[in-house]
Formats: sequence, structure tokens, C-alpha cells
Amino acid sequence: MRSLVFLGLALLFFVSCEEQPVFIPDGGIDPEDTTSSVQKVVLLEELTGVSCPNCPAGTAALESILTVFEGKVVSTAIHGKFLAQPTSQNVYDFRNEDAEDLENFLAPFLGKPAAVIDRTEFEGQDFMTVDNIGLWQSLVSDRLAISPQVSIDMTTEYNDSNRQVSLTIDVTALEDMEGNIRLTVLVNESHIIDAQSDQNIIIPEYEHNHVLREVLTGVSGDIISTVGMTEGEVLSRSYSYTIPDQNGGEWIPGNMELVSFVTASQLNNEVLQAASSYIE
Amino acid sequence: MRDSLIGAANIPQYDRQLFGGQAWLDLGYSIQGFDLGLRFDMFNNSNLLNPSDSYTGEGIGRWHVAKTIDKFNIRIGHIYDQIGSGIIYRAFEERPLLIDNPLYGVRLIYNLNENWQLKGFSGRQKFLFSEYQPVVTGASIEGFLDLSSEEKLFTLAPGFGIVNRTLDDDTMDRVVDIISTYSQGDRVTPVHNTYSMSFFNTMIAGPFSWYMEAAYKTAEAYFDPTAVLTDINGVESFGKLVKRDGTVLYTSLSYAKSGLGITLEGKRTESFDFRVDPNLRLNRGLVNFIPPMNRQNTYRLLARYSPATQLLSERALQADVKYRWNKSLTTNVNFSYITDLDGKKLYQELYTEVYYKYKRLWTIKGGIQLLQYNQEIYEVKPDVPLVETFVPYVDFLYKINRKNSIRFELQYMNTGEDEKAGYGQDYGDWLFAQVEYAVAPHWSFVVSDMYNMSAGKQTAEENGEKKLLHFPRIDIYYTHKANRFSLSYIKQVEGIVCTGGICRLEPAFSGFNFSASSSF
Repeated sequence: MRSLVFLGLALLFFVSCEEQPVFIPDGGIDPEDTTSSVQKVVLLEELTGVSCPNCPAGTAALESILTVFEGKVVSTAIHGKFLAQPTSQNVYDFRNEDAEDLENFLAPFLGKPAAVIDRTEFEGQDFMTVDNIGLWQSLVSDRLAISPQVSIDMTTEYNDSNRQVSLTIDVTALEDMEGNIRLTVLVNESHIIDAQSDQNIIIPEYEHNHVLREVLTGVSGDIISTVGMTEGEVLSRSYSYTIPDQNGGEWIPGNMELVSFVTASQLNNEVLQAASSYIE
Repeated sequence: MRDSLIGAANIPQYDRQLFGGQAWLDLGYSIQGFDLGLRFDMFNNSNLLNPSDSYTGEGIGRWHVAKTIDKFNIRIGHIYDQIGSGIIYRAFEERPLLIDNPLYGVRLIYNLNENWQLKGFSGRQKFLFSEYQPVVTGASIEGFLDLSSEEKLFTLAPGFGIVNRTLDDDTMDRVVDIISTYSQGDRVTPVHNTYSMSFFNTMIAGPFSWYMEAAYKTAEAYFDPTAVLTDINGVESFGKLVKRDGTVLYTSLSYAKSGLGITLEGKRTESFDFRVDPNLRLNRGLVNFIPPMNRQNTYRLLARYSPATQLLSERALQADVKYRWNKSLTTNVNFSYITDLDGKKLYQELYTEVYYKYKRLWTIKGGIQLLQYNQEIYEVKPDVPLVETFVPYVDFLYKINRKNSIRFELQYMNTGEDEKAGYGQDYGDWLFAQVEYAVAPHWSFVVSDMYNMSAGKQTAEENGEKKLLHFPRIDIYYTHKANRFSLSYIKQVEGIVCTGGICRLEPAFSGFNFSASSSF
């Protein structure tokens, strides 16, 4: 009898109160930046692969973010080594040395898909890589709320006859910074139709976007200043890139995009600002 | 030692952090009715936490103080415990996977009488050298009833347990952040408080023993990797937070008499992913432990395909029959069959074993294993057939004299064809051989090799050609009283495990390992 009394009390203890329902706000709220005249642009580096069965979910989340924060997020899809080997149905091989180097540079990651957002290690995360897809949008939103320390202007010229792209980047400091300032430039290609693993199937005609083709700088960036920058200072760099010959549905100039971003050692090498520009 | 051909490369341990190790020192002391415990943990460049990364940390991994006062037992600190078979609550340590999730808090046990016990606990789950924020609170009552007569043994051991997990505000904010990005049709309303409860009982009647447990978990938001999410662009993808309640039914019936032992087990699991934080994946933050329903094989090739317990949808049966014909001969047959709740076959294993002992001179054990393994589900590998293997094995031990003995193991795995790939399934066929020479009571020398003797779809490639590789291993063991030391050279094949919506690389291993364990 005494046991039953204890049991009854324990049950009452556990289920005596009813909690208030949680309020779910509308997502994708674009944070107002009231402190800066320059809009912060966030870089999202997606670690992915055509043999990664969970990666289409990550890509869908990324595309959703690009829609919600249109013009305020740039991305690159890194088909490094892990789960990036072509499936039996793939025509193209997106792997390249730069993608593998960049994947290793951004490691560790627990698995794929994963994203590195502005190269920032967020509170509650073990690493810079975030494998919980659901968190990506809110973390991007957090980064959009901060003021950029630099602005980036990209000027591209494309010569169709020799498939050469000339790129000039002006980095302007919006506040004083110390230490090494690095600039990284990536080449992406979108709208490539090829196979992709998706859970237990292979999607034969999947649209691959923002596929990293080459890193024009070092994967950790080129140092453009070792003594920081003072507010208003402008540093310029020029690059040229020759697009390989078109191969079926890839290496199409109109689908190619240049992405640049700036990091500073003083600020844990987090991305201060990012920008992108289509070649054509 | 870096070996890019087998995949032992591109992680810190092979590229730069060439030395590392783990150590645990567990101390216990009893004084004046107090029970004190302390464990020092050290991880140096360890890949236990994440096989593709390096983790370094050290500190107090566990401590506790306990005292029994009359009918009360109070324990504070880190507490390992479980309710029933662990289906609603289990705090335990599994070092090879770096699972070490004791509750950091307090536990009270009150002995109502010599047969009935009441238990309550509250705290936060440990992770490495800190704790997750959500709070776990639980209580159980367990008893023992002896209804035996002079002619017949009849006992009952019933129990009831309940566990609450309360999310803290930061964790809930992260859950809300995720759900707020969903379209209206995909949204669910998460709750801070989730309850799981179970009733369990062991009945022993003569040669029969029957355990049953029925568990229920109230509805909460958890991650379902198979649920379809429609994003803002109308694109559908797999994996989202859903809100459902869950159940587990588990039963085990055993019979043992006159050399015959029979065990029948059954389990049904639906939506029972119970974690301290729904954002955690893989084996992190699990509050409970649902027992697996397949034979725990130890031989290398027999254990190659092992089904992970499915937390969201599983129906499983297992039968084990063992018969001892005489002092020399024993036979064992085990059969397990696992499907999801829609009837899709996940795993099937038929295992047979014959054991014969000739005086004290030699023993031989051998048999076959027939297995089917759903790689699509367990490893989320697309476009692969059900892996089918046939493994004959033999284990022969010969005692040369009182001090020296030699043991041979031989296993061969024949794997089915992957017609689409034009190769064998997965890694194709394997051959494993091992020789162990023991010099009692101190030394043991083991040499083994696992050879990928026929190419499969996953077999390593070099310059576009499949490479049939050897994975040798050499171990030297030295035992002195309660001290055991080992030095090993290991080359181990890599694998990929995908679960909970993400894939994790279990990388190949190539290198040396030194291990020492001591009790004093």
C-alpha cells in the first residue's frame, strides 16, 4: 500500500503542471542594419558531394537561405573528397585539388552536409562547421546583423575570344584593423545538370549550383596587408582566370561566378565581408 | 602511419599529430560509510570523439560521494544508472565510442522493505568535461515477489519508471530558430517537457524466465531524417523536426533445462528518439538505450555487418537455441530478423555453431553465418542491393602443454553480386586468418590478416584499377597479475556510417597502438 502511495505521489509530481505553448515567430526575418551604410554579405561554404545521400537537404536549405536573404548571402559548394566521388550515373567529376584543400582547411566536420558560415565558430557548436542544417538560416541571420568592417567592389571583364576573365577587387576599410588582412577569390559554376545521391536513390538530372571550380588565391587567402588597415584605406588586387573549354554542360561562362571575401587575423580570421560577381 | 590507399590520410593524426592517446584512472575509497569515487580522464590527439578529427582535453571525468543512512542511500556527483532494460533511461559508459553520459546531479534510493525499492534522481547529462543544459529527472519503483511453492519456483520482479526531460531556454531557442524557417505546413510546436515511462516485469516460473517492458514517450519535437520538408522555394528534401509520441514494446522469453537453452525475443519501436536536446545527432545526448536484437558477434568477419538499433521504426525478432549434447559437444543456432514498421527487411542473420572439446588437449568451434543487411537504411547508401553474405568460420585451439597453446582462426566471407556496379557488393569477398600463440600466464602473440580477395564496389582503387589489399594486424600482450599491456600494429579498413541525417566517416586506421590496463 505504501508503495502505491509513493507511486501516486511520484506521478502527480511529474505531470502536475501544464506548460505554456512556445511561440514560433516567422522565420527569415531580415535583420535591419542601422549602424552601417554598407550591407553585410555573409559567406556560406557548403561541404557537399554527389555521393552524399543527405546533401540535397543541405542544398535545399542553402537555396532557401539565398532566397530569403537575396543579395546578402554568397555561397560555394565544396565537392572535396569525402563522399564526393562520382556515382555510377555521374557524367562530370566536380572534385578538384582546390576543393579538397579547402575541405581540409575547413575541417574538422562531423559529416556531410555541413556549412561554414563566415568562418565563425558559433556558440554551442563543436567546430566552425555546422552539420545541423536547420540552424544555418538563423546563424546567417545572426551574421547579417553585424556591421561589416570592410566593403568589397569587384570589377570583371570577360574576353570571349580567349575565354579570359580579368578581375579587379577594391577592399575599403570601414574601420581601423590590425594584423594580417587576407583576400580569397573563388570561381563557382552553377546550373550543371548531373547525378546526385539522395537518400536511397540517385537523382539523374539534379541541378548543381555554386560548384567550386578553382581558388584563385591560396585556400586561406592572399595576404593583402600585414599591418592592418586604417578607416578609408583602399587595397586593390587584380586576378585573371582562363575558363577551360566547354565540356558538354559545364564550363559555360554565363553560369560562372566569382566570389571574394576578406578575413582578418585580428578578428579570428572570420569573414568580414563577402561579394560575388557573375562573369557574363 | 599515413596510407592514402586505404584512406588513412587527411586527418590530423596522419598528417601532423603523429602521437596521441587516451587514459582513464578510476579511484574508489570507502571510509566511515561513505563511498567516494574519482576518475581522471585524458584525451590527447584522440579520434574517439570524432574519427576524422583530433580532440585533446583532460580533467575529472567522474566523481561521486555516496552514503547509506538507514533505508536511504544518497549519491551526488556523476551517476551511472538505468531503469528497467534502459528503454526510457540509461546512463552508461562505452569507451570505444566515447559514450560517457552519467547524470551529474543527485540520486536518492529508499528501500521500502527488503524487496521494494524507490528511486529518484535529477541532474544534467555529462558531455566530455561539461554538461548539457537540459535537466533530466526520473523516478522508479522496483520490487521482487517470491510466490514459489516447495514444488515450483515462481517469482515476479515488477517495476515502473518515469523520466522527465526539460529543455532550457537556450536549447529551446535553437529549436524554435529551426522551426521558424519551416513553411506553415511543416511547423510543429515544440515542448519544454517530455515524459517517458515504462512498466517492466521479470517472471520466473520453473525453467522459464519471461521479461517484458512497455514504454511510452509523450509527443515532442525530434529530428526525423525521413520526413519530407518543403522549403520556401517549394523544393522538397528529407529531414525535419516532427512532433509525435513514441512507444517501445520489448519481450524476452527464456527456457533452460537439462542442457537445453532457448531464448525468444521480440521488439517493436516507434518514434522513440529521446535525447537531452533534439538538435543532437548520432550517439550524442541519448537519454535512453534500446537494446539491439541481433547476436553480438565477436569474430572479425562475422561482426562486419551489424545493424544499428533503429530509434524511429523497427520490428525485430530473435531466437537462440543452445543444446549441450554431452561434456564435449555443444551446438548453438541463432536467428534474427529485423524489419521497419512498414515491413521493409533491414536485417536477417542465421548463425550456427558447433563446439567440440577433446579432453583437455584441443577444442574446435565452427559453423556458418548467413546474413542479409540493408545497407541503404543502415548506412544510407543509395542504389545498393541488400548485402548478402555467407561466412563459414573455424576456431581451433591446441594446448601444446600446460603453459603453451596455439589457436587458429579462419573465416571466409562470400559476398553477393552488385549487378549494377559490375562488382561484388560493398567490398566484395574477404578472407581472415589469425594465429595466436600463448605462453601462460604472461605472454600472448597474435598475427592476423584480413584480405580483400575479390573486388567489390567499394574496394580501393588506384589509377582506375581495383586494388585487392591486405589489412594485417600484429599484437603482443603481456599480463602480470592484474596488469595487462599490449602493443599492436594495426591496418584497418575504413567505413562510412550515415545516421540521423548526416554521414560520419569511420576512417581506416594504420599505425601502432599501445595499451595498458591495471587494477590495484
